[in-house]
Amino acid sequence: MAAPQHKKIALLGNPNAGKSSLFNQLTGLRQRVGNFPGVTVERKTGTCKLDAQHQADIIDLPGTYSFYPSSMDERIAVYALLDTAQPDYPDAVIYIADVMHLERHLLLLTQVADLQLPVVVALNMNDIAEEQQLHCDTAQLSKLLSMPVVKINGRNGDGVAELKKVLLQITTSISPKLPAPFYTLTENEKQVAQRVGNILPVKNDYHAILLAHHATKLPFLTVEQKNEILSVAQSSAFNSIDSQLEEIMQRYRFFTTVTQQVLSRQLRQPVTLTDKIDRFVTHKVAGPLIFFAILLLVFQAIFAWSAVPMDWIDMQFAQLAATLQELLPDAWWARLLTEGLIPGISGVLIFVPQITILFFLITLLEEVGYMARAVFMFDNIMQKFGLNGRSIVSLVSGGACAIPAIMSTRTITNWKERMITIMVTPWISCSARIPVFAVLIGMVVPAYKVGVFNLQGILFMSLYVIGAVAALLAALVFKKVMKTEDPSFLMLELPAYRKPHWKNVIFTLYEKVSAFVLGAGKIILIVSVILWVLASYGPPGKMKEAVNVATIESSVMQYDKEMTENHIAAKKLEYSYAGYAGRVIEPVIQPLGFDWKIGIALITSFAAREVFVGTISTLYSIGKDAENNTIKAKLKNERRPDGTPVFTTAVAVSLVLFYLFAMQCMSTLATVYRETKSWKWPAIQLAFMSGTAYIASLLAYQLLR
Amino acid sequence: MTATQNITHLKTGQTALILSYQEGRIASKLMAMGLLPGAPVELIRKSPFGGAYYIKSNEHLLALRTAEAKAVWVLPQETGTR
Repeated sequence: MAAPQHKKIALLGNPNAGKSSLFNQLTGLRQRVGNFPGVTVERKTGTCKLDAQHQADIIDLPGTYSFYPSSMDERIAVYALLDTAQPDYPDAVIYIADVMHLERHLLLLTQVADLQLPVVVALNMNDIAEEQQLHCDTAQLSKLLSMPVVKINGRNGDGVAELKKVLLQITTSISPKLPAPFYTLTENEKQVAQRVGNILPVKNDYHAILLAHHATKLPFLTVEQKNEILSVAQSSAFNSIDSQLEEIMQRYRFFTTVTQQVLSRQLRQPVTLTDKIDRFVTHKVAGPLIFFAILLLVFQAIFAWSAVPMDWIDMQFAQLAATLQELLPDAWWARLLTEGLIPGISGVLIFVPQITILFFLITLLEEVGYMARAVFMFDNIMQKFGLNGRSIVSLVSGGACAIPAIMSTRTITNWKERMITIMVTPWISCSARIPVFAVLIGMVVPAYKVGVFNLQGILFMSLYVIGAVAALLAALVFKKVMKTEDPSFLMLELPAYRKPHWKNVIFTLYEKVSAFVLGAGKIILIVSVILWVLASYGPPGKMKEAVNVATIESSVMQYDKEMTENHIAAKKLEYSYAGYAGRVIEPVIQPLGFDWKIGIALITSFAAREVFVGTISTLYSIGKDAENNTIKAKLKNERRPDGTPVFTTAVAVSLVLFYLFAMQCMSTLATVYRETKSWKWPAIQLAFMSGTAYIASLLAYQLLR
Repeated sequence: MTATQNITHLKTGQTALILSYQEGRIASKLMAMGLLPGAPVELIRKSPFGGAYYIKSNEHLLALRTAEAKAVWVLPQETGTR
C-alpha cells in the first residue's frame, strides 16, 4: 500500500458532554476546517496518532441529543451518519457520554450503534461524579452494551491513551464485534424499512427507517428518491412522530435497567453551586442588571486593551511599506505591493486585537455556562422581535465582527428566527465602523467633558445604541413580512456552571478569529487590490495630465516637497477610474450632502468600511499615514470651490448615519450567501440596509443643513 | 383535576411528577433531553421577562418556553417555599 491508510472516526455526543475538549485532546493542533459534502457548513477534522504506525482522521460532528434533530447544527451530525456514500463516512465512532447524565446519553449512543457502526464509549466527567459520590461500573456497562467503554477526562487528558488503544484495535480488526440491535422496529416500521430498502441501498432496517423519517430534508437524496420514500411512508401510514416516541420510550426502558446496574446510586437533586449562582444570575432584577453590566465591561475591555496592539500593527505595516518603497524600483508591481497588498493585509490584521478580545470574553461566558442563562432570560423579549433567545449570542458577537456572529446562528432551530437574526446582526456596530466613527465624530464634536463623561464617548455609545435599536426594529419588520410553518423551540439545556477549560477557549477563539481573517480577509484583500487598480489607473493620458496639473499648481502655491507629493496623489486619484466613478454617482449622493470625493470613498469602502479613512486622507492630500488628529484638522478646513466648508456638521452626521446603516461589507454578504445558500438573502440585506442608510442620511442632511 | 396541570401551573420551587406530554414533537425532543414521564420536575425560576421556565429534573437543567412547558402534564407534589 502506497499511502498510509487513514481510518475515519466520527466524534459524536450530546451538547455539553465535553466533546470539543476530547477533540482537542485527540488531535491537538492538527485540525482543519472543511465543508461537509452537500451542505456548505464548516466541519472540523483532525488527525490523531493512534500509535507509531497508525493515524486516524477524527471528524467532529456537532452535538445532538438524538437522531431526531431540530437545528441545522444537529441535522448536520445526523445526516453525516445517514449518507453512507459520502467519502468521509466513518469507519468507527467515538461516543462521548457524561456520567452525570448517563441515562439520557445512552439514547443517541444506542441509536448510532444501531446503524451498525463500531462504537467506543468515552465516559467523561468522572471527576465531578466522584466528587458527588457517584461511581460507575464501566466493566458492567461495557458488558451490558456489548461495546468498549473507556473512562476519560477531557480536561487533563486522562484515559485518552487507553481510548486510542481501543480505537486502534477496532479500526484494525477486519470485522469488529457489533452489539445486537438495541431497538426492535414495530411491524409497520419493518414494512416501511423493507420498501425504502428497495428504493436505495441501506445498511439495515434502522438506517432505512431513519431515511423515511428525514427524507424531505436529506441533502444527498435525489428528488425522485425523496418522492418515492414519501409515497412509501404515506401508503404504509407511517407516522414519524409516533414512531419517534415509540422508539425513544422503548430505548429508555432498557436504559433504566442499565443505570440501575452500573451507577452506585440513582441521581438525586442536591442543592448545587449552580443553583446558588442561578439564584442571583437569573434573578428577576439582578439577572438583567448583571447581563448589562457584563456587556458594558466587555465593551470597555475592547477599547481599553486593543489600542496598543492596533497601533503597533498599523505602525509595523506602515514601516514595512515605507521600507519597501525605498528599496524597490518605482514599478507597477512595487506599487501594487506597497499601496495595494500591504495596506490590504494591514486593513485585515488591524481588527484582530479587537475581535480577539471580544470573542475571548464571549467564549469565556459560553464556556462557564453563562450564555445559556442570558438566552433563557431574554428569549421572551427576543421572540417579540421575531428572534430567538439564542440570537442574543449572535447580536453580542456582532459587536466584534458580523461574520462569525452570523455563523453562530446555526444553533437557532427555527428557520425564520435564524434568517431574521442573520439579516439584522450587521446593524450592530462592528469594529470596522470604529475608525470611521472616530474620525467623523472627532471632526464635529469637540473633546469636551460633560461631568465625568466625554462628549465624544457619549456620542460613540449612542451610535452603538442606535445600531442595536435599529436591528431590533428591522427584526420586527421582518417578523411581519416573513412567513414560516417551522415550529419554534427554546428547549435549552442550562449546563452546570464550570471552570473555563482554557484549552477549549483558546481553540474556539482561534477558530472564530481565523473565520474572520480567512473569510473576510480574502475578500478584503482581493477587493483592495481591485480598488488599488481603479484608484491608480485612469483613462489613457489622464494620469499624466493629473501629474502635470498638480505639479504646476504646487509650484504656483509654493508647496514644499511633501505637500507637492500629497497634492499629486490627490490629483491622480481625481483623474483615476475611481475618480470618474465618484463623479458618476455624485448626482445620487448629492442630496445626502456628499460630493464626488466622498463618493470615491463610498465606492472604495464598499468592500470594508474602514477603507473610508484611508481614501479620504489621500483625496484631501493629507498623506496616507496621517494621524487621526491631523486628518480631522485638515478635513475641517476643506472648502468647496465656492468657499463653504465640505465637512459641515450636517455632512458629518449624514456620513456617520450612512456608515452606521449601509451594508458596506462584502465579506458579510459572502458569509450570508454561504449560510443561506442563496443570493436572495444577501441581496435583500444589501437593499434594505443601504436603502435605510440613504434615507437616514438624506433626512439628517436636509434637516441639519 | 390534577391531571390537567402543566409546568406553567407550578409555583417557583414546587416539585411535581411528569405524567405525560400533550404534543408529540415536543415530547420527542424533551425525552431526548432527558425529561421523562415518571421523573420529578422542579420549577426553579420563571424568566425575568416572562415566557420561559427554568426547570430541573434529576440532574438536567432545562429552559422551556411557555408553549413547551404547557405541553408537559404534571402531578404537583408539594407547595413551593422559595
